[in-house]
Amino acid sequence: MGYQFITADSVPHALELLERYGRDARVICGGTDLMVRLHLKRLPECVFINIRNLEELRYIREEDGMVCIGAGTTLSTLENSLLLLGKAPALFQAAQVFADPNVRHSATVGGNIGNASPSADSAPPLLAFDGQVVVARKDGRRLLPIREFFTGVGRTALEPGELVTEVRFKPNPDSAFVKVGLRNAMAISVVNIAASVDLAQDGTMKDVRIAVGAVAPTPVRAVCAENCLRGRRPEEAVIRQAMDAIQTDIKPITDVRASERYRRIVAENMMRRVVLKACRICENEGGAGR
Amino acid sequence: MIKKGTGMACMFYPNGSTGKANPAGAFIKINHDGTAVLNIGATDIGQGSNTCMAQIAAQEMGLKLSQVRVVTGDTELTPYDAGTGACRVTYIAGNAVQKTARKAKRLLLDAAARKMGLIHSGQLVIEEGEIFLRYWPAKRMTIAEAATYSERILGQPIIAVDSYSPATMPLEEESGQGMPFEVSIYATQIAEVEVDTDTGEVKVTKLVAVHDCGKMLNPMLVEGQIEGGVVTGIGYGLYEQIIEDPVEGGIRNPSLATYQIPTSLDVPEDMVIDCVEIPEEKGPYGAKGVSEPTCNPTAPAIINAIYNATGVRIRDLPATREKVLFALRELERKEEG
Repeated sequence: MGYQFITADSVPHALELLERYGRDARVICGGTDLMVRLHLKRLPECVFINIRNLEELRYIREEDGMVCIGAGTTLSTLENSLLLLGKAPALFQAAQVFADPNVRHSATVGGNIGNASPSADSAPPLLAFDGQVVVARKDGRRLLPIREFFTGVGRTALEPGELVTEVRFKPNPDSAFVKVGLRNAMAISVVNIAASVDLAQDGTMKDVRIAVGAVAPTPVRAVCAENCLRGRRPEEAVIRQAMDAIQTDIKPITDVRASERYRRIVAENMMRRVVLKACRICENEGGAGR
Repeated sequence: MIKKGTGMACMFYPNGSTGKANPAGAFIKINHDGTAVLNIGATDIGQGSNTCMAQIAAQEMGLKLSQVRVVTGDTELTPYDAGTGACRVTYIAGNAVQKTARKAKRLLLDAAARKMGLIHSGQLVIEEGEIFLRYWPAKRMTIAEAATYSERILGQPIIAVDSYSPATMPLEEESGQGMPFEVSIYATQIAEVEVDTDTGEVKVTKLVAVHDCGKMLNPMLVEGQIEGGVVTGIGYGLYEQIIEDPVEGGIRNPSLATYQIPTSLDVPEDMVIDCVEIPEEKGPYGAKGVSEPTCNPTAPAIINAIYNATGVRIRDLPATREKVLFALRELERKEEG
């Protein structure tokens, strides 16, 4: 079969192509993951459905209190969005430390989650905001909670013929993101973590959502840690408990970048950092996840 | 928590090995239009040696830099050179170029003296492409005229060949004593770091590098060499490692995606680079090499700074985040126990 490359000129056209080619189709937009795999000869033969030219998928807007981001929106658009800076700093910060400026100009939100890497930097913020993925197909569309979107390393709940067209979430200004890689740019995350906190007047965390990446086959919510924190103040003893609890939420492996032990220690340390940052208790601590 | 510390390292580095022959050859011709061609075996690998060699030739022959064309990087055309490495190009090839340029200049002045009707060329000076009598500057001619006269009238085209190799001096067999290198290069570097005790990340916040490379022939090239060396040293100290697969064999990080070199965000914004210029009498115009050792003191300075900041002594490089974090944990455990 070889590789084929077809450029879609509208979303309906793309959906039609996806339906026609079914399992052989592979959506390409920024190409920052697929082109690398193609060059490494680690990509099965396929029909690329190119959606890079679809301006209708490039937007960030607010609708009924939700932030809606088109799947074709680049990471560099995110890191320059005043809307995200003010209302969803976790995603803003993730975009800032994503790969490097060249990659950010090309890589897209839809591609980053669609690629379903365990270390995808945009995934923890979207999980912490409890976001939704808008999935379109030729005969309709469905809303999928992002928690159900990732099903394994490189695998998603998308069916053949389906296309991610948007991610949407209720933003929270009390949110933050921290990334630890092996260096400060062009680094695949060893641990990335986002927190979104609903703070009461007295500083109690009415609700808290924490999501962490690169420590399990998919980015995961740290439910046990969240349970330790919910309804309490971000005090030392409370955070200590949550740090212990996050160990049951994660299941890291040892790979070429880091050992399981390193990931476990850093995950708990960064959980503390990201929660405090989201509560605006100690920002600018410097170091990892600037 | 962020812990700050400062560390220093000094080094000396040998330049111009004397153990066996270590030659560089050069060839110069001066054309009748007053330009020159310098033909050298030493190859510019990006460090700017072509500029530097042309500077030496131009200075020696009284030509402008733009009048010297350098031919290099082609073993079919150029004389032998032992290679670009070990800091030897400025020192050894530079000496070869200076010696050769002196010979060419001698031929040129002899021709000029003949043209001017002088008994010898002793009182002639070359500057900015012109030859004149020291005590009677009005009596002058251009290099082009002298070269043309030499070629067309005297039948002696201006061509010169020479080479340089440090005096060979084998080490004493029994004791290993001797003088293995002609000169030494010296440097001190100081690193300021911030260690993130939650991740093991070491951020080099400031780096001061002061080198003695003799007289700087081209300060911008020297600065570039030191900057590049420091970044390489940061890679050596904190990032770069080849990870072997203990089961399957082979290398697990055989690409730049997994073999980590420092990026621009891993380099200190505050880098102070300076030189103590102590002319080396054996070097061309007092110069020695600068390149390779620029990365030598960086890693030790960083490792000392980590120790100063945290009390953790890293003994195998690189000091990756993981290694530093585990060492910090180990230290904590010892202190508690």
